[in-house]
Amino acid sequence: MSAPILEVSDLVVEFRHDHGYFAAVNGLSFTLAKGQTLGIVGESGSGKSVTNLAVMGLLPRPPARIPRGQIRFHGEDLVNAPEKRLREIRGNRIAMIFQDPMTSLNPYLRIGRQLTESLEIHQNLKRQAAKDLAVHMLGRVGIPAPERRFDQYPHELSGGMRQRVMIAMMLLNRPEVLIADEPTTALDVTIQAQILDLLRDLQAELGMAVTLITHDLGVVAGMADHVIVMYAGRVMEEGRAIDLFRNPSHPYTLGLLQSIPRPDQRVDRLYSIPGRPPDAGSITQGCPFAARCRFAKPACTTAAPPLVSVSATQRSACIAIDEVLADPARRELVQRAQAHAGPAPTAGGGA
Amino acid sequence: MSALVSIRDLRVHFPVKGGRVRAVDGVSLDIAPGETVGLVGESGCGKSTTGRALLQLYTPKIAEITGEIRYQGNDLVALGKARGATVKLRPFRKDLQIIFQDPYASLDPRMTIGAQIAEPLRYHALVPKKDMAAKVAELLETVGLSPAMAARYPHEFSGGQRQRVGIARALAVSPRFIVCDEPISALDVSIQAQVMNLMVELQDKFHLTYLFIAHDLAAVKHISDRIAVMYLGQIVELAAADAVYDTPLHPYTQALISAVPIPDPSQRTRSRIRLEGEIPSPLNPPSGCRFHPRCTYAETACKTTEPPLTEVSPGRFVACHPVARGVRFPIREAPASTA
Repeated sequence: MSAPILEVSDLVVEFRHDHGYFAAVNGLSFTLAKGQTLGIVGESGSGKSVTNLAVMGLLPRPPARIPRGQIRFHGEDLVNAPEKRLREIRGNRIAMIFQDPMTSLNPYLRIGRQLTESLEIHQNLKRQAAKDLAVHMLGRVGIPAPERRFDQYPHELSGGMRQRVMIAMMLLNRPEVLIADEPTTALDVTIQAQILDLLRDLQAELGMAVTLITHDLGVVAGMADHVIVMYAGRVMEEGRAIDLFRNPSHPYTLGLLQSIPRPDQRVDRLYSIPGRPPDAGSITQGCPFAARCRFAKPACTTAAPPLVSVSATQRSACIAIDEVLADPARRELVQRAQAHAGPAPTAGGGA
Repeated sequence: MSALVSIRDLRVHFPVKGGRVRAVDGVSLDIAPGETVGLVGESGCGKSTTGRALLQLYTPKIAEITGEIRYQGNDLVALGKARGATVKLRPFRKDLQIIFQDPYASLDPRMTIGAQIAEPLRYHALVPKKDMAAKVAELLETVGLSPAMAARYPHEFSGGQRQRVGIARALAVSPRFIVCDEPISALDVSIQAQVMNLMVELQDKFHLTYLFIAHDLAAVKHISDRIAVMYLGQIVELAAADAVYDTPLHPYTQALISAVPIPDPSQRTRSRIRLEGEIPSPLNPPSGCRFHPRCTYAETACKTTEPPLTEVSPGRFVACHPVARGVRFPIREAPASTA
């Protein structure tokens, strides 16, 4: 594997709250290499989007603070980098696309102007050269009649087209890292498939590293090489995508996989994780998932369990891993998945 | 089969500057008692409009509605246009209820949960005042909430809890039929299963009939007996839920189903039918089959003549000229459902 482009280690992001600070992200580490796709999965309040904003240097500090941990881009520290330096990197070498392209496009500016603006800022291009490049890029992301679209306003475009414009915009500067935060959540399923295809093609062509943040396990399974599952700011489990989906080894991952209906399988009643995610700002001792976990032990509520290796390619933050791995419901899920499809995983935990 | 609700050639058109949005354009559907019919399709296909028109939630000022919605021998479309529609529709409003997608927007932030659940009971004069608190408590328990929560306000609830309140409010008047309009889309993944399971339990307990509208095909397939697929205001395929998923016949259904992401990385390589372009505007839908400009298999007839929804095998309806003739298009090599 080539040297990592982006390296996050033991990152803690805290927000000011009624009584002091609470950790929205608590001890997150990952590395991202050229051409790789990292999926970060989590529900509301899991800290997945905050992670993003931290990497982009977009966290308002205060009320946020980063008391611990590092974010390194080609070895350069971003946590304490001056704003001027961040501006050189952001949008240029690390780019981002969001869930709702309507809120990230300026409704008063024509599409073309929004595209050429960044070229003029980051690449010092003359207006005509910038326009040529922008029109070319609109065509490249699958927008029909790009010359005409160039002169339109965002409201004249459909949601799928707006997301294509966002992708074209971020591609113009040939970023090395793309952070995609729920990029297809607002889109219909066939449009989602088009956008994911496009991202995959572009990634192969340009060798970008991608961080895909989503709540949709199906989307992440289709895109990511490596997956991190977050819950209430902490990493519950991480590993190679195939291992994580085939051999879930954390009760939360297992619960999620059990509770989503799979269109290619049939069950009478869905498994459901009891309770609900903790409110943002609530401070929990120990494992944040303990209150909803069917494997929970008294020790779970005293200290957060560290991530331990389940296999060479998978780690889980659970003190009851053995019990989870031996769980009959888990075995059933794993068997059903394996009976179902594709080549068996080449590595991964027991069962 | 004697249907509980019978829709015939329903059209819902919204007049706008420069034309009319033909949101629903000739939908016919029978829904049997106790059945769950899933209504799927992408934004703008008319699935929510169908659900709302079914409950007569559009006034004649907003929408031009034609066709029939038969319920217990009455045509709700005709009643909705009649003088004194409010009064005439009232008895049916009790029987036919709706659960909305966004439990944040459908609850009044200034009213307690208890008062909001009691409101339909008061409106339909179903429960004497002295028994109201007990009835509200009973409803909260039915949907898995604590009766003590009656005194709280919506902002004190999570999304999943609010959706339970929405369900309690719909159940309050003992309906027979509930339109569920994207009831789980706004909820966290771990909460969606809870709400779906609750809906299934309540259906068994109260013999409810559901029209389950959603864009999440996996959820729809899980909960539905039959699925109707809509495209640009029309039903293009209607069949048993498993059949629609396992052997879709209409080219649009095939594309839609092959686009559903499967939570299994080993299925990443499954072949997918790539659908080009986007849904045309319902302001000016294409001639003939509305899907023809995007369809790989379009023939001359598809461009000129609208294909009727035809029963191609028992219980399977498809609106496609070639399919009606007996042509079967290849589908992806899908693994069959495990029973």
